[in-house]
Amino acid sequence: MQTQTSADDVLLDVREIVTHFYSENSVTRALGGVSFQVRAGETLGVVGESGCGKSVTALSILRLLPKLTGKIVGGEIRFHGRDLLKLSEQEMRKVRGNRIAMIFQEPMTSLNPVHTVGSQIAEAVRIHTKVSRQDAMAKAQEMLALVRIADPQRRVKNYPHEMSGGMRQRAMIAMALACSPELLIADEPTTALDVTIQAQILRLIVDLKERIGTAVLFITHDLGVVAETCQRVMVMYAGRIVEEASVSDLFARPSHPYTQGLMRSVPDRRRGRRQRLPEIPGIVPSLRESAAGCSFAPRCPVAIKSCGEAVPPMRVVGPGHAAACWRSEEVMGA
Amino acid sequence: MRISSLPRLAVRHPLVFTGGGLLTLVIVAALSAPVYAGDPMIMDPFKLLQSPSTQAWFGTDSLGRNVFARTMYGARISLVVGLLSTMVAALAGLMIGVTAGYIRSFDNFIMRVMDGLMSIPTILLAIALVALTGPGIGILIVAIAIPSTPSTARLIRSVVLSVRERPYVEAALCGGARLPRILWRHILPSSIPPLMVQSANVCAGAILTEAALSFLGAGVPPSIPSWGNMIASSRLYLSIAPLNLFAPGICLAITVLAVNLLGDGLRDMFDPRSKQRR
Repeated sequence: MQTQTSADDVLLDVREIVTHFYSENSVTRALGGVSFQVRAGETLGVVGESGCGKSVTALSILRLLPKLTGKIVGGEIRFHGRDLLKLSEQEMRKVRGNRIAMIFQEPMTSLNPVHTVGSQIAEAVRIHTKVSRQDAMAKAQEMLALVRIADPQRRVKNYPHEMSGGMRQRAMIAMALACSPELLIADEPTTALDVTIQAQILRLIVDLKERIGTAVLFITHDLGVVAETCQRVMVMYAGRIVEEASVSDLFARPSHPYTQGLMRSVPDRRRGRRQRLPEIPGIVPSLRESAAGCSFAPRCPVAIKSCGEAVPPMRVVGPGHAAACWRSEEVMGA
Repeated sequence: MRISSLPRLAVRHPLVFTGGGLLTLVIVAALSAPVYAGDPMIMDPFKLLQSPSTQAWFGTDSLGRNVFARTMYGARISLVVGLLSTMVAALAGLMIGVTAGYIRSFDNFIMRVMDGLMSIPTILLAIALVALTGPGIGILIVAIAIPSTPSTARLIRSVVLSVRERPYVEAALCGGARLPRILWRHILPSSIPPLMVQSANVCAGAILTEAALSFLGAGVPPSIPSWGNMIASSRLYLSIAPLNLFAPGICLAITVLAVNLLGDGLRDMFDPRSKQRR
C-alpha cells in the first residue's frame, strides 16, 4: 500500500513484524509480517475475528508479550523514527504509559481493587513525571473531570467496586490519557459494556482524541464501532493484514473476499425476516502449521489454484486502498 | 482499631474476637508478670512441692519455686519464640514466594529447595542445631522458622502466580511501571491476608514446637522457666503436685487455642465468600 506520506507525520511505522508463540512442541505464528502506519492524530481501526492477531499486534508494539512464550521474531516498529524493538527495557518503560498508552477490554478487572481510583491514576502520573503526591492527586481529579465523571472530588476517593462498569472504563481512559500520550491503543474498550454505555465511551474517546491530539489504534471486532470512530481501517486475518482502506472505501468497495464475508455477516434490517444470517464457511486455520499460499483460501468462495501456492502481497487497488488478494479487482467488482 | 468497634467485631467475627482477646490476655499477663507474680527463680528448700497457698497460688515445685510465677514468666518464652519465629518464617516465606512466583526462571530451583527443606522434621533439625551451638532462644527461633518457611513460601507463590496475571498488573506494566512498584503496589497487598492466616497457623505450631523442644531439653536453658521444661520436670511428681504439670499445660493449650481461633477467624474474615454467612 505505502502511499508515501511525508515521513514526519507518521507517528508509528510498523514494518513486517513477525511474532511467534512457543510452547513445548509447537510454534504458533501469531503475526506473519504485519505492516502499517499510524499518522499523528488519526484513528486507525483494526478489525478481525478472535485470534486473528489484533491484541498480539498491540502487545507487540508495547513489547509486553509474555516473556517466556512470546517473541517478536522480525520486523521493525518505528515510533517517531526510532525502532522500539531496539530500545532497552528501561527506555521502553519511558515509552509505555507516557507516549504510548493502552486501555483494555475488561474495565472490571483492569483496576486494582485494593487502591482507590484516584491513587491509581495518580500513580500513572507519578511514574512518568516528577510531581508531588498532592499534585498527582489533583491531576487525577482533573482527569476524572475530563472523562466526564460527575463529582470528581468524591470519585477520586472511590474504590473500583464503588463504580459502575462504564465509570471504571472512563477511569481507565483517564489513567491512560493522564500523561497525554501521542498514541492510545484501545483494545476492544467497549466489548464488556452494554450498548448505551458503549456509545458514550466511543464518543468520549473520539472527543478526547481530538482535544488532546492523540492518535488512536482502535482494536475491535465490531464493524459498526469502526464506522463510527475511525478514519482508516485494517482488516486482519490469521496474523496478516488482508485489507487496508479508508472507512468509507472499505464499506463501499471491500476488495478482499474475507472483508466481504464480514460485511455480509453483519445483521441487516432490510434482509428478509426469517432468513439465515450468512456466515463464512469453515474455520480459522490453525496458526501452528504454516500453509503455503493465502491463509483464507480454504474458506474463500473465489479461490483459484494460485491462491494455494503463494501468499498474495498487499496490492494497491485504489487511492489509499490496498488488499492482499490475487483477485481483488474481480472481487471488488462483484 | 477503635474501642467502640469491639462489640461489632465480637458479633461479626466471634472467632477473631475470642482468639484475639485470649491472646491479648496472655501477652498482658506475660509482660506484667513482674508486677504481680512474684519471683520465679527463688528456691526454698523448706517448701518443696507444696499445695496452693496465698503466697504461691499454684503451689511450689520440686525445688521450692513458685509455680504460678514460673507459669506466668513461662508465657514469655512461648510468646517470644512463637511470635519471632513466625515473623522470621513469614518474612522469609514472603520474599521467597514472591521471588519464585514473579521471576519464573528462579521458580523451579527455589521451590525444589523448599521441597527439600520441608522434608526435614522440625524437632530433628532443632535438636541438631542446638547440639551444634548450645541452647538459646536465638537458635530456637531459627530452628523453628526454617522448617516453617516452605509452606508459607509455597502459599505466597501460588497467590503471586494468580495475581500477576490479573489485568490490572498488565495495565500497570502498560503504564510503564517497574518491577518493584508492581510488587509493592499490586502483588504485596493481595498476599497479606493469606499470609496472616498462614502465619497464625505457623505460630500455633511454633509455640507447640518450642514447648516440645524445651520438654526434651533441647529448648531454652533449664534455668529459664518455660512451659515445656516445667512440664518435663514436674511429670515425676504428678500424683503429689498435679498443678505443677497442669498449670503450664493448660496455659499452653489456651495460648495455642487462642492463636488457632484467631487464624480461623481471620481466614473467615478475609474470605469474601464467607461474608454472607457472617
